[in-house]
Parts: sequence; C-alpha cells; structure tokens
Amino acid sequence: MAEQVAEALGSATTMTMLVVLAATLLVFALLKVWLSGSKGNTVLLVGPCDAGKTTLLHQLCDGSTHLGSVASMVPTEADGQLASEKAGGATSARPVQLVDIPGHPRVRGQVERYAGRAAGVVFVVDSVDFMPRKTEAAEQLFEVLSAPALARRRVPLLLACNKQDMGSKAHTVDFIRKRLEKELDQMRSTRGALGDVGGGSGGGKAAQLGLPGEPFTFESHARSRGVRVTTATLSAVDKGGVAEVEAFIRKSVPA
Amino acid sequence: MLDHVCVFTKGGSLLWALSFVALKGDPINTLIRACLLEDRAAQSSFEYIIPSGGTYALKWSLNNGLGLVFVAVYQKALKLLYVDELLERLNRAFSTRYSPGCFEYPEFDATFQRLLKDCEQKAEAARRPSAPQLAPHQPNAQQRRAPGASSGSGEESSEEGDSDGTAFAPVTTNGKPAGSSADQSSDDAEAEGGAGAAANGAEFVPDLHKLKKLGKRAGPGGKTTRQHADRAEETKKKAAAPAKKGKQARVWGNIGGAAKEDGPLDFTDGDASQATITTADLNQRSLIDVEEDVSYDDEGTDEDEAGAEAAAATKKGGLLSSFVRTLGVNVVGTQALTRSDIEPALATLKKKLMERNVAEEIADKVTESVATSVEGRKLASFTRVSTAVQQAVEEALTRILTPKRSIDILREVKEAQAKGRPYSIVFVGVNGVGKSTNLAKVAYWLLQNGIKVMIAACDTFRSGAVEQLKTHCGRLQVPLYERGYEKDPAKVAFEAAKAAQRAGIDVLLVDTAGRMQDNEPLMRALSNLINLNQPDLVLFVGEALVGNDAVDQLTKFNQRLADLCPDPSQRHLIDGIVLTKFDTIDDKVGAALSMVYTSGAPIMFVGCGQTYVDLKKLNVKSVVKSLLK
Repeated sequence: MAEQVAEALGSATTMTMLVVLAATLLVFALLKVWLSGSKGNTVLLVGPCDAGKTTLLHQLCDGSTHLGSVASMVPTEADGQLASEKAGGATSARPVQLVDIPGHPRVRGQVERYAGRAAGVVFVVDSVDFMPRKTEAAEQLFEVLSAPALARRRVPLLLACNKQDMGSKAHTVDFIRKRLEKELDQMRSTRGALGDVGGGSGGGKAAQLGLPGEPFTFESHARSRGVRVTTATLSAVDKGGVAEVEAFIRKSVPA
Repeated sequence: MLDHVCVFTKGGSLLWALSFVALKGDPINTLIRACLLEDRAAQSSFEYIIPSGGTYALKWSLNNGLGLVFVAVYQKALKLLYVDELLERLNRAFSTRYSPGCFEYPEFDATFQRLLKDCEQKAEAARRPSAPQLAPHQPNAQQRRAPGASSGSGEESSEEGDSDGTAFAPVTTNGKPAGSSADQSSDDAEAEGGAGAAANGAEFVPDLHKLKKLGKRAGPGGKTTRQHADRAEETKKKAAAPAKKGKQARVWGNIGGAAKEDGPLDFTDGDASQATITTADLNQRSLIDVEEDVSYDDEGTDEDEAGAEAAAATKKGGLLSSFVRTLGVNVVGTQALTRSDIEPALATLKKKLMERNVAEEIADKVTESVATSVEGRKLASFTRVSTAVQQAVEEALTRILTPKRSIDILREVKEAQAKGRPYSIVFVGVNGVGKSTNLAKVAYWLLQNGIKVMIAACDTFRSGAVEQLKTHCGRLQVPLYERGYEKDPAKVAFEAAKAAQRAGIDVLLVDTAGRMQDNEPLMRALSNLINLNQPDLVLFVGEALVGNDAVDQLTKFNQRLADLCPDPSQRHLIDGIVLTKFDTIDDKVGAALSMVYTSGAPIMFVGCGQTYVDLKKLNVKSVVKSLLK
C-alpha cells in the first residue's frame, strides 16, 4: 500500500499536475497584480446635494451637460478618457474612472464603498448657495477627510467651488476655504466627543484631522496627516470651466 | 392636462423631458429626496405643494433593470385617470430605445405624443358611458377593459363589475405565471384599480387592499418547495447566529469601579433626612464617548451563510435536494426578476422583521418598497433571489436608519453658545418611558463635555416628578428651575429659559409630563409649550420595548404638534428620538426602525442601562445586522 502511494507520487502524471497547478497560480498572481494596478484610477466626486457633481461628471466625460440633471439616487460610475483629451487626440492617456456619489445624507455613506480604490477626491461645493448650507457641506467634508480608507492612503482632495460663472453671486474660493476650515475646527472637538463618526462608518477608527493643538487649516492637515488638500474654481456648465479639476485628476491619475 | 413628463436615470442624468407648462418650484427633486430616497416608493403618488400656491400630483414608474425613473407631473385638482397606464406604456416604449451611453432622445417626442393621445382617448371613452351612473365599480371595469383591448391578453375578457377578483385568479392559482404576460396583466389590473380608486373616492380603497393581500397570500402557494428550502435555511441560520453574536462588554465597569456606589439611581438605601446628598462622579466616562471596538467582517457572514447552506443541504437529504436548489438558483439567474420570484423571499423577510419587533405596518411598507426597487432587476448568474432581496433590504434599512439631519448636538450647542443664548431641548413622550432618567443622562454627558446645564421641571402634573428631578440635580450639581405643581408648564418653561439666559447657561433641558398620545388636553398643553418656547430640539423619548404602538405614538405626537400649532410656518415637529431601555430587548431592535421610519427623525441617543453613563449613540450597522440576523 505504502509503496503504491510512493510510486504514485513519484510518477510523471503527478509531476505534470503539479506543474499545471503552479502555472495556474502564477497566472492568478499576475492577474491580481494587473487588476490592482488598474484599480488606482478612480476619482470620486462628492459633495452636498445640488453642488453640481453629476453635471461635472458629464462635462468631464462627454464634454456636454446634456439635458441637465436631477437629484441622484445611486452612484454613477463612468470609465474612459476625459473628454478634453479625447478631443485633443491624446489616445495614449490612461483612462480614468469617475464615480459620482449622491449628496443626499441618506446615501452619501456610499463613499466608503469606493474609498478603497480612490486615487483622488473632488469635493464639489456650491459657491452661490454656500452660506445657508455651510454646516452641511462642512459635515460631509469632515466625513470624507476622516474616512479611514482615504486618510490611511493619503488620498489627495480637491475643494472645487462650483458655479463660479454666476459672477458676484458666487463666494470666492478663499472665503469658502476659510469658512470650511472654521467649521471643521469646531466640529473636530464636538465630533471627537461623540465617538464613532456618522452612523454609517464602521471600517475602522476615524482619522484625526489636523494637529490637535492648533486651529484646523487645510495646510496644517496636509503637514500633519500627509493628505494634500487644494482648492480650485469650477464652472461645471462651461467647457472651459473644468480645467482645474481636470488638472487635478491628471495629477492624481498619471497618464 | 399633464404639466410635465420626464425620464431620468437613477444616477441623476435627465434623459428626456417634455414640459407642457413650465414647472413651478422643484417637484422632481423633492419627489426624489422626500419619497424615492426615503424608501417610501411603495406609495402610488406624491404631492408637491407649490410655494406660490397650488399642489402638484406626481406619479412615477421605475425600471429597475435599466435603472430608469419615469415621472409625470400634473395639477392635483385634475384627476387624471390615464397617468398610471401612460407611465407604464412610456416605460415599455422608452426601455426599448434606451442605450446606456446616450443622453438625448429627441425623436422620442413623437412616440410620446402618440402614447398620450392614445391614453387620453381611452380614458375619455371609458369615462363617458359610466359618468351618469356613478357606481363605484362600474368605471373600474370599463377601465380594465380598455387596456385589454390593446394588449390582447387572454384573461382580460371578464367584464363584470367585480371582475377584479377574477382577474387576479389566474395569477394566484397558477403560482408561477408562464410568461411575463400574466404578471403584466396583474400589474395592469393593479394600476387600473389604483386609478379607479383615485377617481371614485375612498370607498373602493379597502376593497383593493383586500384583493392585493389576497393575491399576496395566495401567490407564493404554488412554490412551496422553494419556500420550504428558504425556511430550512432560515432556521439553520438562526441556529448558527447566537454563537456569533456575543454580548458587548460593559466598558464602564473597569473605568470607574470605585465609584460604583454612585452609579445606581436608586436612593432608597440612603438616609432621606440627611442633608448632604452624594454627588455623582463626573470623572466616569459616559458610554457615548467610549469608542466601541466592534468589527464588522462582511466577508465572514458570507462564509457563514455558505456554511449554513451546505449544512442545510446535507441535512435535508444529500445530493438531490442540493441539486434542485442549484437549479432554483440558475433558472432565474439570467432573466429579470418578476414579482412572483421575489414574493417568497419578501415574505420571509417580512416575517423576520416582525419577529424583530418591527411594527407590522412598517414591515409591510419597507418590504413593499424593496419589492419595487428589486422588481425587474437582473441578477448576476449564481446569485440566489433571496440573497439579492436580502441585500436590497439591507441597503434600504441602512438608508432609513442613517440620519438625515445632523445628530451632532454638541456642535449645535456650541453654535448657540457663540450667539450667547441657551440651547433648549424638550423631552416628550408617553408615560413611564424614561424621560426624566434619560434627561439626567444627557445632562451628565453634557456636563462632561464642559457645558453648563440647567434643568426645568415642567412636569407639573405627576406627583413626585419635581422631587425626582431635584435629586438628579443635587447629584449632578446642576441648577433646577421649578415652580412646583399645578402651574402651566408652558409658562414654567418660558421663565426657565429667561432664568437660563440670565445665569449664562448653555443648555436648558426641559422635562415634560408623560402623556398618552390620545389625551387631547395634555397634547394641547404640550403643543402650547413647544409653540410658546420654540425650543431648538424636541426629543421624543420612546422605549425600545414598544411594538406596533410606536407608529401610533409618533404619528399622533407629530400630528398633534402640527395641527395644534396656530401658525403653520412656525410649527415644530419631533426632531429626534431617544430610544430607551435598549438593554432589555436583546436583538428585538425593531422599535428603532419603526420609530425612525414613522417620524423621519433620527435616533439621537440610546439609553442602555440604569446609570448616568449608560447613554450611547445608535450604531446603524449593528442594528441592521440584528434586524436581519
């Protein structure tokens, strides 16, 4: 009995089987490397309701706003090249996956689902209707900045102030940045007291924002946590208004 | 007639729209936010009050397979009978043309005009002969005959007044319909019934409901095998579940072990005559601040499920049954889900929710809403229907329980602090749910966060209420504003707010008398208190033990607060919920869902024990998990 087993083990068939097994494993490993390599091209579009995320998505992907948009209910994923690059004929550019995540409080927890493969986050804010809804925006920005999956991987964030085409009705980028910093600073102390952030998060401990001793600024956050936060003007309805966002996307997802 | 019709994707891209009259306000977005995203899609129409006056009625149809939404807007005053049918036909016509990358369909205008004309004519023809009689059933039958003529389905031939009953019969007795036609006809029948009911007033409604229920009850009967399999798996899962769950460790024990004597709220053992009252130890951390180390391993559950499944299969009799089950998986693996496919899974889910103490009405509405969102969806191969439904329910429950409003009270307090006015919180609720106890817990938590608190005793009704608060205040070393009994609570609260302002207090906690939701004079007094003082936050205190009554309580409280308010623009409804006695219910967490769904208000605090530190925040994930366990 034992000899038979030993013989079977030593036989040529077994060797072939082993080789086949090893080859399969190798293929799987390669596949995984390849897949994980292509994973890092996702850019998330987040922000409060009515900030213009869906419009921005269309402008970036198709170079047109089509008929307009209504409140989104589910995230939209769009793969492919940026519209401007397609028009420019730069075929070698690496495709980007854009994910538009609805701003409604009930569904914006979905950021978590995509956080793992995000290479960049564009936080879109409405510059015109900013003041009455600044707390809402700040709250959401807080959730994004403290999302463990994003903070751990130091995913850069772009604060894009949309609707800058509205002229004097729109607040300036600087004003919005300062206001949000102030709100976030306050939220840091109150949110900390409440333990786990938001109802929906559960993927580990929430990340800290900025340095504990000093007032919160995006600059200090970048210094202490390594998460780059930049600002940009945006006018999602114009073709030329999305240039700064495009630059950010290209920086996050190198061609 | 119609004001506006549009088609958009669930992702928010408008695909096609046709305006007959320019829309006032923003009815479409309001519909999405207040209805479709709130899992209230099971209702058949939505009303939008135009800011400049008037009301729109909105009806919609979903195509879950393609992720499309079809909406029609019209003046509510016009009772349009053909809208449901029009939307159904629009749905079918548009779906064939839809291609995911395309965002413009200008050529669809003509098709729609034809559909509209068709539907209008049919409605007109159906109405004319029946108009003089005004019998409730007659126009309905006429209505039903109309679509039958166009679609040419076999069982549409019945023309009697109460033909609805017979029209349902083929669907119910056949069990699984042979194709989509039988199912479609039942859909049509429902839609038509709905239109008829809308036209004829309320008298038809109960009838229709009964029919629907009948259909539902009889529906799954034909597929007992699958249901049995589901149930077997269900029990198996349940058996496997308790081992996984485990009780969460009480964290406070090792923090303040020395202060244990201060912990219980029970003071009967202390000498009453003694002047010195022991004060509560503020160094203990309220549990709301203690971070929980609960890990949610989603992959784990999948494996468990698979394990349970395998175990169930082997137990049920080996290879054959498991083979049959796999067949059940694959058959529906490629085609769109029909109502009858998901019916058994929904039934088990509803049962499960009700076992978890969710009010029946709410369980009904949630499953119905899930059904509308799953129907027509295409399953990935090797996915079971029950898994897909389970996932949809999980998503829906998470959505419902996720707060829509900020629950960061501390930040709001700080905002008020900066403005130099006290932030006032009123606690309301029925008798004996723990209003005063949880008010004290909240006070304790606020004190820990360095906030100056004052308590107002506005329960001027129940004997001993003021003394109870006095004891709490003594222990927490917090000022109490009281004017004894037999005073108007609204006035006491008003004076307390003034006193708090003078004393530089940050938060004023107002305790009110417990009242049953049907007690008219007391509800009037409460509404008066809230309207006079306009507090920043009205917290409804409800116990987690409550079952079906939760819906009634919250509905009536909200309704009375709204109705009894002299100025509708100033009305203040319930802003948040305090769920008490959460430690006594194990996994029957259904009251949380019932309350949140009924009121739309988030759960701000959860009372989970007898001591001051036993105040927590709701963890949505764990509640959803317990609900579906």
